[in-house]
Amino acid sequence: MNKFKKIMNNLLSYLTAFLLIVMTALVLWQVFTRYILNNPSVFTEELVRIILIWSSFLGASYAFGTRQHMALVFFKEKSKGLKKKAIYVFIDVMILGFAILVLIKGGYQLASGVMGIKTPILGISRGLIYMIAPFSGIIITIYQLMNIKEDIEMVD
Amino acid sequence: MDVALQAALVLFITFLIQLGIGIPISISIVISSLITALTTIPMDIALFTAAQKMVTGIDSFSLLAVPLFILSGNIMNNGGIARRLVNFAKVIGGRLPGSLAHANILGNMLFGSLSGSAVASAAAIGGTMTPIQKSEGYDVSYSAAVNISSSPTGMLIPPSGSLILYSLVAGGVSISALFIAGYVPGFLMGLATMVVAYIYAKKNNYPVSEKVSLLQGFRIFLEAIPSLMLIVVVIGGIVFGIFTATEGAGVAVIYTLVLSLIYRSIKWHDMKEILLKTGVTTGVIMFLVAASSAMSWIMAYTGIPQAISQGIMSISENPIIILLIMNITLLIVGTFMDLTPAILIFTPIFLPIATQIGLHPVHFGIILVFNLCIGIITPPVGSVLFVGCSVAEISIEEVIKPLLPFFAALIVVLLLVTYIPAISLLLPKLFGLI
Amino acid sequence: TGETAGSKGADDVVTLRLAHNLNEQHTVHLALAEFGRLIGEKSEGNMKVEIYPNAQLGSEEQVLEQLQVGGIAMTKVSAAALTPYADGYNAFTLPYVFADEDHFFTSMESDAVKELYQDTHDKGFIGLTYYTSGARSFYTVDKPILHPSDLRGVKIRVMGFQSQTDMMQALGGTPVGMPYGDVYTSLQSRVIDGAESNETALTNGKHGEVAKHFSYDEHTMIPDIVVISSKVWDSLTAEQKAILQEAAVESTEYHKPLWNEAIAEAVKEAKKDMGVTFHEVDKGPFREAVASMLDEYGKKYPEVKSLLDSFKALE
Ligand code: NA
Ligand code: NA
Repeated sequence: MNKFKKIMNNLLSYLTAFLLIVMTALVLWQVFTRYILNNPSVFTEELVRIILIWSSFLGASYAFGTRQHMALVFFKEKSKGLKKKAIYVFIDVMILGFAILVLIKGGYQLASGVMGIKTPILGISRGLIYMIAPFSGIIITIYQLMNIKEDIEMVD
Repeated sequence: MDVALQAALVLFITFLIQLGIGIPISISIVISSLITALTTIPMDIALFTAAQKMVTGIDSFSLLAVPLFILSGNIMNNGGIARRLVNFAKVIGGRLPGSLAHANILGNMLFGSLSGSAVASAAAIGGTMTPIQKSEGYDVSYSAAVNISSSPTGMLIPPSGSLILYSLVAGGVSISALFIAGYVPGFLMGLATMVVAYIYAKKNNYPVSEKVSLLQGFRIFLEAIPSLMLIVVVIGGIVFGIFTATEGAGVAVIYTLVLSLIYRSIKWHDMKEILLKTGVTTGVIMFLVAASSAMSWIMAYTGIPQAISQGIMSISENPIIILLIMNITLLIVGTFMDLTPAILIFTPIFLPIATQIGLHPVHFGIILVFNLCIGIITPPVGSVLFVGCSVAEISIEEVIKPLLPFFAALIVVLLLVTYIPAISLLLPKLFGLI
Repeated sequence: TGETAGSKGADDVVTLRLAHNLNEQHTVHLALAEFGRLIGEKSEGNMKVEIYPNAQLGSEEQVLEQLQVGGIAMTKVSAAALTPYADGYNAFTLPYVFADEDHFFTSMESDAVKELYQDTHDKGFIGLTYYTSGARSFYTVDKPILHPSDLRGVKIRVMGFQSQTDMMQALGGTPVGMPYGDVYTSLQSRVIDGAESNETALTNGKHGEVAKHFSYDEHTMIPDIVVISSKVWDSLTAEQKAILQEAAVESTEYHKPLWNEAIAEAVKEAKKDMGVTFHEVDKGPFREAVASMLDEYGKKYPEVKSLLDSFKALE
């Protein structure tokens, strides 16, 4: 289990880092083509927006795996023993529910509804762009299952 | 019960409960929005819309400035540039108690005025200044509070994306007039945080930078020039039309990267760590933007903003009271909602009330943005608050107490800006813009 | 069923939610309000329209998607936003399709367009009617665009659609894609030299504070289209559908004089308060430069060709 989480963490972090580099390069390319070449790249703005969505969702998914999302921790840190364990499990089940219902179910319906609709410049399927929702939903689901297992095994 | 009122109660109560338990804020926002949505629409539509608003909430080219400025801030963090800038800041900050805090505030005013993004400013300037303040013995929660409370100044000091947005929604308010009007309130905002920082530093005997000889000062300045040039390159590039503010963030990344490589303060293999850190920070922030986009939808759909507006008008007809109520409402809204959706939703609701009681639309725009600037630094939901805490690596709870005196000072300035129209309107009048 | 957006309450009143991205002073908002009023009147209060202005519920793209599940019943979008859903809508984004305003009106009210409205039924919505959005022209900071050669090396912001980029390139200018909200500051800092829209961009968008030359080349006339969710539409009775269609057409007529007043007002304000100069332009050279575009798009999209042919016949 731990080894599997490590592999997922690595994959996600390399992918997110790669997308950050691509976005930076595209923005500089946009400036270069417009200001130096006087022949502005027309596809960069649309492409950057798509990559921003993807990298944000991947980065957010990773942050669920590593429990880095912002929360008010006062109450859950103050509690002890079985109560603490219960709170941790409850929180992680709520996140799991969110991932399954909103990202996987809602996101899949969203994506499948516009599979045939193309973006105006690049002609990429809008459904494919939206697929990041169910995709990251699946990643978060896997992470949350591992997190819940950790919660149950937790000793403090 | 009124539909909107019922929705508002469901939304806020379920949100606060989840927040209290310790559910991540982004998840609390989405789940409370979903529960509220289910009181009026079927489950499948609620899930579809929540997913759609989350994905499209970050579908914005301008938002790209966030990861890029965070990235350039993270690169700058690694020694070289930051150290030279700080030495320079110490010289400028001079013998003021808490000189590094003042340097942080001035940096935010300068950087924020450039980027127009409070979040980017909190990340780039705070990311550089906070670790240095820490090494000089400053209390981290205090440094974070200084950084957080001074970051929004750039939303008022032009150019400002928020004022452009307001002007577009308000339908017919001059952007030039708004820009000029933002200068004095923006500077007052910065000044207020400097006063609090001064008092705090004096009380805690924070180090005053050592006296430096003229020659030393000059050498420090020379050393800092390439780093300071970042400001020249980014501002100059924007002013002279080489790139937009968003693109300037990309230029900042490459500039800081090249300079850091020259200074040998980062090595290629450090980049992996830097990119990963940026990726996670970006993911966390963008997920919050995504979540508040879903919440804004359900608020608009159930008519919560209109209910608020009607409530205000039913309480009083006295302009002073109405303004006070609007300020309080916006401050409360700001605690939960981010600046952009709040401007989009509340401008059309409050502007008619404001003009009805005799306020100039330019003046009202400044009041609105000032309020929401405070909103983005207040817990529980505040994008600048989140970034400020995360670059300082502390929890939100830790920063609340040191933030309180800053809030007090900002609210004093807000009241001045609200009740003295000249603070906003004198400059645009002088320039013949209104 | 469309039980949400077209929800039947206890008192059997059908509530139709209509979202759009304009402010409440815009003529199209006023026309939509009239549309709602007419529906209430004609149905004797059994149907009502609730309007959500200012993009409160999302951008054009987003609201169109929300129509698919029926969370919102209706919206108003630019015809350009419909191009991903039906190829035919590309026809409206092409330059010099319409000879003049009258030709535009006759074409928009022709059967060909009424058929086009139905083409998107299985994509989640159908068209009801259109509102004029005037003609789009170039406005620039330094010098007017009186001839296509004036566009050489000039950076013009265009909407993010392939046809708009193609048009700029055909005219010899340099197309730049950027968010509408960035246009003002980009004109000011000269990231771009100009943009293109109708006269109201000078005043509503305040672009006239920076761009002092408006050149009447009138290259495109891109209408706004009112669309309704298929899910909601299919749930209505024949009588209710008839009411909607009648009200829609009446609101289009109601909008025409409003629009002309708004344009006259915008021109007056731009001249007087902003010092913008309006230039009459010989459209001939512009028309010639882009003539081949109509053939190309006609070849690429058969639906565009048949629409262009039927418009031609009405000229
Ligand atoms: Na600014
Ligand atoms: Na807040």
